Amino acid sequence: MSLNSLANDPELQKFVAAKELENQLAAQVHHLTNICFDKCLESSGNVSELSSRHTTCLQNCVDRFLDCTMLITNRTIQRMQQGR
Amino acid sequence: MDGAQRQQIMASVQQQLALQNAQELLQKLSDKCFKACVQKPGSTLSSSEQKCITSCSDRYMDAWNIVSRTYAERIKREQHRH
Repeated sequence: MSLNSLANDPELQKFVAAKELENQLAAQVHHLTNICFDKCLESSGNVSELSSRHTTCLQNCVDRFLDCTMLITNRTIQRMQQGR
Repeated sequence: MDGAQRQQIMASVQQQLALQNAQELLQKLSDKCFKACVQKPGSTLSSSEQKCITSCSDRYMDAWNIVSRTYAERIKREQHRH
């Protein structure tokens, strides 16, 4: 089995592409957890369990961060189109 | 390449990615909880520091699960929108 046969195998290529996407999503989850843990839980000290307030905060944090990212992306594209 | 070889490669890749994910998680847990729980490093971890670290890592894992679920749901929502 040569490296060539690895690179040219279509099923393997499809598998690797899917895994790369999966990996990117997993990295994003790590990133979001990092940010939202700080935002929602840091001041809580030593709690034995996550309250519903904590849970809601984490959920909102994820959605608002993604909204923020989309807003910035659109704004950036807008500026580029305006030639700024 | 035959099917068995392909399966073997895919399983190996899957394993490596799972390991990478676990390492990433462990690194984040250690960083976060050391920072939160150990203000002045002594010659051992005190029992209060140990309790804090245990609690912190449980909370971080809970948070990771919630974030993971919320993120997956958001992706699904965005896909249905388009």
